[in-house]
Amino acid sequence: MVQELTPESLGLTVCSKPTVAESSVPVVRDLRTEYRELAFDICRVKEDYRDAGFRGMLQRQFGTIQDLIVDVFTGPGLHPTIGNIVPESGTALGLSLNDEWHRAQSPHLRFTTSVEGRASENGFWAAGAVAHIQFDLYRTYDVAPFRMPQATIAIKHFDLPKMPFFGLGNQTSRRDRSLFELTETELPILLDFPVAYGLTLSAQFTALHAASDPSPTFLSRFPEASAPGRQSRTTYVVPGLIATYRSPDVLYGLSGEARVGYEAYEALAGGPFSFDRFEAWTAVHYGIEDQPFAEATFPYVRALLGSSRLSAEANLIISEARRHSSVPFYLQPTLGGGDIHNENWLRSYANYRFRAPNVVAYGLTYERRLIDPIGISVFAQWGKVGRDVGELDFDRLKHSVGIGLTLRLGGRSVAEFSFAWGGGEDTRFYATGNTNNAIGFGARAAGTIGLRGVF
Amino acid sequence: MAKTTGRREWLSMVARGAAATTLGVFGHPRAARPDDGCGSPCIKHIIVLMMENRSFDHMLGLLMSEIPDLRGVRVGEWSNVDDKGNVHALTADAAYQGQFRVDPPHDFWSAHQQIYLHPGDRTPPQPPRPDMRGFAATYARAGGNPAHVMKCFSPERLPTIRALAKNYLVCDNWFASLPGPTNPNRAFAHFGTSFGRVDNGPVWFMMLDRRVQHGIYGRLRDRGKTSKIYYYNQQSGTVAMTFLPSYYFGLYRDFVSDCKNNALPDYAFIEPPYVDQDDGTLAADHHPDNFVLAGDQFIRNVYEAIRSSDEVWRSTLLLILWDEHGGIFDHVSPPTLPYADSFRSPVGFAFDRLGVRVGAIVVSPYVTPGVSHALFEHASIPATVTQQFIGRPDIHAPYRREQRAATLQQLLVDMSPRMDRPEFERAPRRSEGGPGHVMPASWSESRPWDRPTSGPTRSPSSLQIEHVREVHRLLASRNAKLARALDPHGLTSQREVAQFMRLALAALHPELEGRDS
Repeated sequence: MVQELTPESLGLTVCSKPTVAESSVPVVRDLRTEYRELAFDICRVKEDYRDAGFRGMLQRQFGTIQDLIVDVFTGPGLHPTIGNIVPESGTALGLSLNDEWHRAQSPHLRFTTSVEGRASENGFWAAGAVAHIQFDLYRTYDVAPFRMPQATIAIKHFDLPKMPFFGLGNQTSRRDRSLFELTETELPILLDFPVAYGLTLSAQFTALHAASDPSPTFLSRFPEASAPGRQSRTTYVVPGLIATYRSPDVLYGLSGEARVGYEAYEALAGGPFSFDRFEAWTAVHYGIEDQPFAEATFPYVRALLGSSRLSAEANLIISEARRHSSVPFYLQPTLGGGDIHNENWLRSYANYRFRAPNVVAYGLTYERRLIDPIGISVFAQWGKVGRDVGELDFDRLKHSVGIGLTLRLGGRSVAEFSFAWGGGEDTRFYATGNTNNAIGFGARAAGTIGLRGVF
Repeated sequence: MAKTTGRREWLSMVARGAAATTLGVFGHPRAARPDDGCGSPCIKHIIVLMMENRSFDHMLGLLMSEIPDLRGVRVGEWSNVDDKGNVHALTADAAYQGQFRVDPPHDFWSAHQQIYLHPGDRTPPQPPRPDMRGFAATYARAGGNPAHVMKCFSPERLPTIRALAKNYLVCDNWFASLPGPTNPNRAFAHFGTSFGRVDNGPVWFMMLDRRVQHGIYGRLRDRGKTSKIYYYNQQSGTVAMTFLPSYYFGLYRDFVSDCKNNALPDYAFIEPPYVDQDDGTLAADHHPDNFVLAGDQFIRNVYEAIRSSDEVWRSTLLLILWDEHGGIFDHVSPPTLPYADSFRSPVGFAFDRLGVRVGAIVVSPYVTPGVSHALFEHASIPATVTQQFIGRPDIHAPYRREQRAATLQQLLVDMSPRMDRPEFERAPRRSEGGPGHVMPASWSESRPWDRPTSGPTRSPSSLQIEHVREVHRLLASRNAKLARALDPHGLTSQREVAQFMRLALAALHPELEGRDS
């Protein structure tokens, strides 16, 4: 028997949540729970509107609208997604289904999945699923709570019909811009083993199928010698090892992070395209604390710098083709604008502007608080690509400089709108986001609040 | 709201009176005053660690078997009925993770249902009575297993919380500021009010009046005092990031180094990692269904950071508490207040009724082991900070609830700072994780739940152990030979404590020999 208590009996006027049936099926459970939350949110928004109209709703209970937005876009269950797929894809819309299939404490095990599909205005589309599993095999103690080993398994398919290509190397022309269609299906498995003191060792194994379908213009401009694998369909297995270090995060003082990885691209089919790849990336940050907490050694300099952060970053990718093999052009890293992983190097240039098997890039960023929550950033980036490793010297580095407005929350920049120039190839605007789990948008951890999908 | 005083409450009051008498031997509580610097005892730093969404009974209630004065629970003593008529009794098998796949509802209305609902009752009381019977039913209605909100942690499953609770001061009458979710309750901790809000909108703090938006932090700054919110990292974030400017923030690692370098601000508020991190670091905020042991470890880490500097420890008051009950059962009816807040909610709530009880532990070298039954709520946090660093909250706090809130200074004892350390038992390992088969701290120990909960073989209370140590110290100064013969350590039952005390008192006060019956 269900006996109801009415809000009126307590002198209140509030919405109540509808009853849902219990279910052991995660998808059903999460969909039912999500329905319950949304029904509640909508009731509250309607109630606010009924009481005080639009103006009153915004003034009195803006939180109800926020709750509705958060429940629509985040958390377990089915959600719409919005964003891009890769640079040049245009705005993409999609759906993601996030679920926690299993959680147990003995041993600690958490199995989280997300299935997502997106399509963009330019005809790009992608679909995939990712699962995270944590294992309580052992625990490492770094700063405060502990870490455990975790596994990430994914399957993703990208169909990118209009990817730009300018040729290989540093001396290419924008006039040679040609398009090709890239389709990629990958199945990566990543095992993270935390060591201690911020160090993590990871093993990965990826199955990858990639195909390039160049446009007629592309074929006329770039022969096979200048675009290896221009019409190939390659299948790889890619074993790899990665070491990651991350010092404890601080707002002021010195902190740093680094990643070193090795991947062996073994071509199983599609031609002689086996190669090895070595990647190294490091970043060092120095945060300067605002008054009044700092014991200022140089008070005037401190006052000038305010609450600010200086970062130096370096990135190196070396791809070494095996004997009688080459690195297919579509698996070569790029500099300029955004790359296929949405990393921004040489922002004043077009997306994917420079491409070659080897890449080196450096960056300096200074970000300072203006009037909270607005900050200003200035940055400078240098880099070049090389068909041989020997070309990665400091001679004739491409460069970009820029200035940006940052949105700061919690003493740190979380989003940036920047304007970059340099290199004589026009200027460009960029918006980068680094949104935060606390307000509902998460990263890729086997997370709770921040489940946001595959991409 | 009618509230009766039960047998246990009477026993608690009597015990509290006895404890107060005992404390009187060693010192007397005294509120700090701003006009003599840091007050007496000298508190230079107040640190608050606020965890997430667990009720008092769930986390601390079963400690009553080890801290008899505690207003806790025993297994099977309480129950809830769901809408189908199934009875769900209180059990001791709360798991670190996996029992809250559906988050127990704890929005404003659900919390009211948990407090007032009488499922299965054909003639529910009119007016509604806060009998704490609606937890199982509301969780079942949300699609969860109703039995899970009735589960409590056996003390040995949470080694840090257990050790701190037994060695410092537990507040067993601390309630969330309103029956509702995280943000308005945390607002009471930052502002002393939620400005009439009972909802959980994530960034409504941004809508606040510019004159008051900095809460206790701005108030301190206006008086030349320092404060800071330490959050774990950017991935985890902080609730306060929407209403405070940059200079009020540090990350958790900054807190650790500030402790070590004796560079803490006057007031520090710590936020644990709220989400599992990319690098595998576990969320440690205790929010269902995050791994609870990670939160226990985080609390330990905060404590150890403070203990890394004796100078910091000697001048610090650490408060560990939970922001609200998270939809999980507690047996104590939240009280109504004889006053409302300065704001009234659009839904008709006057903020004259507190939320469900949550755990709170005061850790300081100036508290003695025991329990405080004084009524606190989250507005007590800014009120305490105001009292310590600015002046009387009834004068300096802007809003009514904080003006009237009790402060923690009443719990401090003006005595030599305690430099002893609790003995933390090790956390259960992965093979010991399941409830019911948790390995005790040492195999030589009998399992705590094998111990009788009453009678002379019952474990001594923390207060008794402390008393034994004090008496032994006195004995050592007067009769060193006997003191060496009487080992105050290793007393495992109340009978052994009684024997010790009898021998010691006979040596210290021979004139009293034979006068007791």
